[in-house]
Amino acid sequence: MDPGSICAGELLKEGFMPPIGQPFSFSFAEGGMNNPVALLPLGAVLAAAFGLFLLLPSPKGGPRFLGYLIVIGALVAFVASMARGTAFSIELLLQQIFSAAAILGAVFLVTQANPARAALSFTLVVLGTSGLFLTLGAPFLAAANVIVYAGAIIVTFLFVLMLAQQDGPSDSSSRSRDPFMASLTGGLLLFVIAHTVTGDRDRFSVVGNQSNPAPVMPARVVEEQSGRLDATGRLAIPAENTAFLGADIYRHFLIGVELAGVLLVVATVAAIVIAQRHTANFPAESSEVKA
Amino acid sequence: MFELSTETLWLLLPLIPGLPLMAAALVAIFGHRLGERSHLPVLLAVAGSAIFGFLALMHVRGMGAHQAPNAVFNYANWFEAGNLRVDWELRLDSLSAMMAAMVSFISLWIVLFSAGYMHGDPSYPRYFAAVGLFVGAMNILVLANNLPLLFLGWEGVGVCSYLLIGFWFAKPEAAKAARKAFLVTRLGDVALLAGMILLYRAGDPVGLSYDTIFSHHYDATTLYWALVCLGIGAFGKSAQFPLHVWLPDAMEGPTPVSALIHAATMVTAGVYLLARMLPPLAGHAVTAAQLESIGAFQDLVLVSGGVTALLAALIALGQTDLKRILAYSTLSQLGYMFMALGAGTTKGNVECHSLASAAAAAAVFHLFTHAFFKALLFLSAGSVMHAMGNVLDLRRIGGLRKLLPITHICFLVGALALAGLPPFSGFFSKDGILEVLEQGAHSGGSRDGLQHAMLWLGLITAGLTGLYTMRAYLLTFWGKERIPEEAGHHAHESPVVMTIPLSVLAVPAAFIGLALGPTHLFGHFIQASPGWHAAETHAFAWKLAAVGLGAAAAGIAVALALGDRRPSRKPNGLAETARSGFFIDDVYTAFFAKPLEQFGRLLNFLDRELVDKLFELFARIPGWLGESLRPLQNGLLQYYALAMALGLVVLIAMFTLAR
Amino acid sequence: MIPPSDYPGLSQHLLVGAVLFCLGLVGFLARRNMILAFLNAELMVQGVALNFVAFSRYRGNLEGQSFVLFLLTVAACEAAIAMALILVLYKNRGTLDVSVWQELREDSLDAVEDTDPLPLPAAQAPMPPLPTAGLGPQQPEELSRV
Repeated sequence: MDPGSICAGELLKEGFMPPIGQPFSFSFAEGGMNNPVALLPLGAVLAAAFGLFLLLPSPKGGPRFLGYLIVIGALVAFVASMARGTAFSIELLLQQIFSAAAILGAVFLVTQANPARAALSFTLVVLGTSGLFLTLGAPFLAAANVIVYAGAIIVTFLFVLMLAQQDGPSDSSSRSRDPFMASLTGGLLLFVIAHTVTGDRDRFSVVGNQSNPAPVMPARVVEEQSGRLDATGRLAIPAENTAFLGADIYRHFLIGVELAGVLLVVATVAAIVIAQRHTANFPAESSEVKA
Repeated sequence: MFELSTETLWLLLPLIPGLPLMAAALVAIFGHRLGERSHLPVLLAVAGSAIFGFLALMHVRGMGAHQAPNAVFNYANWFEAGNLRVDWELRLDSLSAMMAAMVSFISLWIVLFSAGYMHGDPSYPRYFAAVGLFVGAMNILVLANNLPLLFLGWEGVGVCSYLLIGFWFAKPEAAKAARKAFLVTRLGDVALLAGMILLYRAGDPVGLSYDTIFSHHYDATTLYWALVCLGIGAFGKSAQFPLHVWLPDAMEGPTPVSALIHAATMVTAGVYLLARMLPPLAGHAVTAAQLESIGAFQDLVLVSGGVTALLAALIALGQTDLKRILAYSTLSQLGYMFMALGAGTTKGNVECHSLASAAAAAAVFHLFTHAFFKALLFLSAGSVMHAMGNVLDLRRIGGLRKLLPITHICFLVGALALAGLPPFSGFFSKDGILEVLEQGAHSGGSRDGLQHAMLWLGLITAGLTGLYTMRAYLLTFWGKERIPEEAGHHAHESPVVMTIPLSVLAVPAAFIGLALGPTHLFGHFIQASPGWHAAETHAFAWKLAAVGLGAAAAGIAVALALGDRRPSRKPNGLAETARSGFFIDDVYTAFFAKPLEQFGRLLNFLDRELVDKLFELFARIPGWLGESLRPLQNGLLQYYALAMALGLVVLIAMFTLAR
Repeated sequence: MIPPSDYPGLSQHLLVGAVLFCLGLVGFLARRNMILAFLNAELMVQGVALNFVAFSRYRGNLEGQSFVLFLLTVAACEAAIAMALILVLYKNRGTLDVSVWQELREDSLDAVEDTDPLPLPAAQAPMPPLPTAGLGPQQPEELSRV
């Protein structure tokens, strides 16, 4: 079985249509629905959704401080509740800090009215995720993430915001489109994903058992593995991350690399062509002298 | 001695109905190309039928001396349903050969006449296609060997009669008359079907061919009810009281149609059916109960025939339209035939089986002669119509004997035959019926009284027949010559193509009775049919003949005395009663037609309001569904994205949460 | 090997990724500013990238990281073209509000408009007047005391 398609494979094994109509059972941590502790994640998600609903920009404006408190508290409680039973380590602490930063930045991004502030919150998110990449043994990606996102994409966004900025409250920044449904959808999705992710631990195991046999790694994957075990006994990814990463993509995904290059060229050309100044495209500027 | 081989007969017999059917199909398909030549295929086909029919007749005649000719020709299986097996089988015996030959012969001259009469009509091909179909169906009817096949022909002639009566369907009266004819005979058809079912259910072995029916012993109740149902069928088709109302209205069709269908052939189908069924069934009745059933049935037929005869004669007196008079006279003569069929066995008297056969023979003989002279009379009326520009109102035409000499002579011959004067054929056949009634009245038994009464009724009707016939003749051809304006330049004798048939038909109308009646040629011939008993030859009943003749002569004398007094424009009460057919039509309209119409209107209303609206409701559902889903497409990007996201949530939930 | 149930860290990372993804979804569905909507889409991508890298770590191979590399590339291209398109759209209507583009709605529906008024912009303190560039402020002449 292909590891990349682990989830789909599991689903297909169970048959395409799940037997709907059977008792609805939670599997957050242990205990399911009857466990009052298991209600905590559900409650946290609902609280977070409610808080978001309060915070999303609207002309009247909701209680900001309270909203932030609710949202951030709920989200943090949510994530922490999933992480019970882990021993303390520096690694864990760093992961918590970076996770918190990412979530904080995300909340600000979603709820800030001012577009510039929102873009800067995104920077915080990127820094958080890059930090997480670092703790997860992907230093090259951490750097690449910061460079590409925080360095290029956000800057581009800020430039375009500058070109299109409007002073004070405006339709685009001070209003939300149906905040209730949006927060509800997000909350539901979070709930469902969380249930999936924390449910059957054996789903994600590399060592299989009889009901979930272990996936068979393709040869090229095995090639790239260092074969070393780390302190916890898990298969470790190589420390020479960049080298092995480069080897991986150039050996096994060469076509992808070339296509990515082509894609970049095409995107560049397309961006230039699309944004050319034709009077038909820019009726608001038709009377201006071309710069 | 004339004899045909079995193989020849096997080929010949289906051609008798087959040729006209093929010609009809040809004209129906290629009619618009044949145009004015559409009569040719039908004419040739019917001529072929006539020749073959005559050959078959000669064959049967030749066989008759040695054995009862009874050749059944089985061609193919038509259908099998459960135990019942019905084949395409044709029968050649005296009765069917005689009927087939007569039908084809008369049809031939009528088709020729029509070629002239219908000249210039825009639907010329349609007419001949329908006539061809009719002749074919009638031949099937008479040649059939089993009841379902007879029913096929029965229905066929019914349909053709509808097509032909309503030939000029753009005229509302014609369309109405066609519907009326079809619906009234339909009642009879349903009864006929019921009769067949009764016979089938009681039969063992099961089958509906004549031999099977005749050889089976039915119990009395089945026998009675089956015969009653068949009888009602016959009443419908032969227009007996109370199902007679369609015949006078059927005069809306072209006159040759009236001649063919309502004089010579279709209306005789009922007589044929009963003539076919009664003698053998009566002959096989052995128990008293069976005899009683047959007797009871015959009572019914007798009374109905008598009432029809008298009623029709009375109504004919009050008519002013020549064709109507002829139509009612047809009704009257059919009544005579049914009276004859109703004579015969008496209850409880076993020895009168031969009387049943004799009675049926008399009925069939009258059918035979009536066909000729009535067709002659109708065609003459058609000739008059043609000359007078379609006006037949006796108040407006008159004194035509110098203008239309040939028509005049032919009409006179037919009228004398109808009135029953010797030596014309009507005298012998009508006398035959009266004779049978007398024999039945004196045969000793419980039915004597009724038959005696009917005998007197027949005599009175004979007198009335003479009266109205002569009156019609005198008013048309004698007196001051009156020609209505519609005649225009038509007021001259008909073309040759029309006078030849008239002349040809006048000969048998005049002489065939003389040739076949007193010589007992016809009687012996017919009684050789299987299942019929040969009757002993009676001496000619001079006394009865004289009485009958006297009645007819009295009627003629009254007519002559009345001279050519025109019927008044404003008829008095009695005349009005007579003219309107004793208000029977109005009774039917009030009690049956109008309530049904109201019911139909109610159903129409319900259909439109309830059923259609219900379906409309269903039809609106997709619209409502669409309207309710429309607001989802409001053009805002994020709503679409929201819908996608919600769908995704539901999908994931379905896959992962339900366990 | 470590028993499978000993991967709580993985689910925590996956959860953080899920939170980022869902927050991005909420933001995309709710914000009307075209640029901010797109920014939230990028947030969703971040969450996904986190997922991949977490799996890569816990599987002990570099598949996930390779994919994230490509993901970054594609995200960059996507951002470039999106910005160009947003610019064109802005110049066409003069606003970044995505709600002005409603022409693809059903014929029988009316356009969705906002009826509640926006708050007025806060009064700003007037900017200090700046002198014309290149000229120093007028200062009283100082006698030199050499």
